Amino acid sequence: MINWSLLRKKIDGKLSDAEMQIFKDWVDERPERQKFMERAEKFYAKDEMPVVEQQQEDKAWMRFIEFRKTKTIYKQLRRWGNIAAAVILFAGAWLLLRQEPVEPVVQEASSAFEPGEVKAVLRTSRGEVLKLGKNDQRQIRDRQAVIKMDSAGITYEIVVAVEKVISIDENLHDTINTYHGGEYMLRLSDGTRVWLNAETELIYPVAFAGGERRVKLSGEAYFEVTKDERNPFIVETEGVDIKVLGTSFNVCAYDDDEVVRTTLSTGKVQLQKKNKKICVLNPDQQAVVNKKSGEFEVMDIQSSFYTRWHEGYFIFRGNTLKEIMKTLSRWYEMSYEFAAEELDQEKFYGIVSRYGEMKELLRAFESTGKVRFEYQDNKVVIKR
Amino acid sequence: MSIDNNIIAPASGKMSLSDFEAVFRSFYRRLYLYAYSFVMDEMEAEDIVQDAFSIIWERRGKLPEHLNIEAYLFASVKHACLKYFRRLKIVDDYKVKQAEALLFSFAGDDTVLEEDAEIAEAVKKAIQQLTPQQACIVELYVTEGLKYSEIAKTLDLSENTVKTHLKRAYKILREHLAPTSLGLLVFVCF
Repeated sequence: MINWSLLRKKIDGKLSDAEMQIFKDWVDERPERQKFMERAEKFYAKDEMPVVEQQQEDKAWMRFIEFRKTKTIYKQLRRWGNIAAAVILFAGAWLLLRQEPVEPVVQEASSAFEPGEVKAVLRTSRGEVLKLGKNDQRQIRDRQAVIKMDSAGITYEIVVAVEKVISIDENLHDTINTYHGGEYMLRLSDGTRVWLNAETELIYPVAFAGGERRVKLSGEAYFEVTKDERNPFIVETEGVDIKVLGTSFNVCAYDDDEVVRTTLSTGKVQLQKKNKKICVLNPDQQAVVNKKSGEFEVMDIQSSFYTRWHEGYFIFRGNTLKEIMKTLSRWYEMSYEFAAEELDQEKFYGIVSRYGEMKELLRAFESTGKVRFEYQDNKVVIKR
Repeated sequence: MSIDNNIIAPASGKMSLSDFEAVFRSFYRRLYLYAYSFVMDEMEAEDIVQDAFSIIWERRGKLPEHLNIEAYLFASVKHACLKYFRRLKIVDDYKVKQAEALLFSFAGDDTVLEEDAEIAEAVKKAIQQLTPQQACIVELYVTEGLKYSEIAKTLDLSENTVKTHLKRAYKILREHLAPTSLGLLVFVCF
């Protein structure tokens, strides 16, 4: 055994002859001690503090999730060394994601491949059509509600007098659409918050009258439903209805997908079809329901992977390139084409901001060496 | 789930993975800095921290109800670091390395185990050598992981000023934890 203080003195170059002998005896005995000293010397030579960046934390969390699943294998692999374990477990390819481009990004002249932004179109029950953007600052008065638009999206507030005097007409519906490359947030008259992803439509009553609170969704949205046990909240989609009491969850029900994916973050939801119960979800569970056949599957997952888009991230965990490109094409202004066979089945892991440039994002995929992208006008060609 | 006073209320089997993500993200940075300052090897530090979280995740449900998760995590990371040292046949008799790791992880009072109260005192003294502005910059840099440019913007300083402050602070902290100044201090307590 050697004392750390002595090693520290060695690093500072302050060893006496006798101490030097003790050090040499220790260090020469094992090669890993030699390596340890090299690292220690490097550590003390730095004149900057060690620091942990956000991306390291994100990656560590992903690693924790992955390793938790494959723990038994991992424990065995560890004995062969960490590198082997890392290589085998991440054979799907791990994206090394940079927060800042190392090289300066060349500004593109065209607007191709621009990311989406906060924008939507509102059609009110009275037939008005309003374009909604990020910096709106206005307010309109409907018969039953005041509709406020600001940087936090759109908010419906029931007019108090109306609520008391006239009965609310639930048949007055507003429709909000986010088209290609748009996202938007709204707060319904019961306080429920909804984040709409790109290419999504939500139809909802201007004011809820009491009784069931029904909205109709096509596309993808994240809901934080205000608790009201007497008046369940129901999201209707093509294929399945989701009944909730007060909870947060994500629904992905695009027209061109064969399945509806419901992911629960908190609380409890019940999936039903024509008022017949299909299944009940607990937090961190996801139900995938086939729209046509009604077949379904419930899986244990980590819900944040499916809901964090509403906080501005794309999260891929073993998604195929086919799924990834579909997701990206809804958000970025582009079309794409696979130029190599089976390339669309390649799997990737990673977290990336939704607001970055697409080419920068795709560069992270390229850094895995599994895939290359070529750009032609508005089109991305995917090659090996 | 709230993380108040660093005590996670129900460390029970009901803790969902999302709840645990909150725990993970609250402590990962500091635990990593602790382990890294100790073993001075990035891969080893990452493994030690991952193991500490795995242990607590697997034992959720069996842990005492009002467990101080922060102290528990730090204790398990510390023991793993000491084990790593033992494997290399190094002893940290005067707890110099421990104190350094504690310093660079900016561990709070709740973190420090009773048996380490003396080194915590030394760490506190080292931090007190910094000017309030230096301390603030160091905290933003180390515990929040902000970049030079972000700190500069937050505090309305130039990037170069931030850089200079950090270097100076680092030097001060190191000098105050050098074996000569610390060794004596801790030695008295043994």
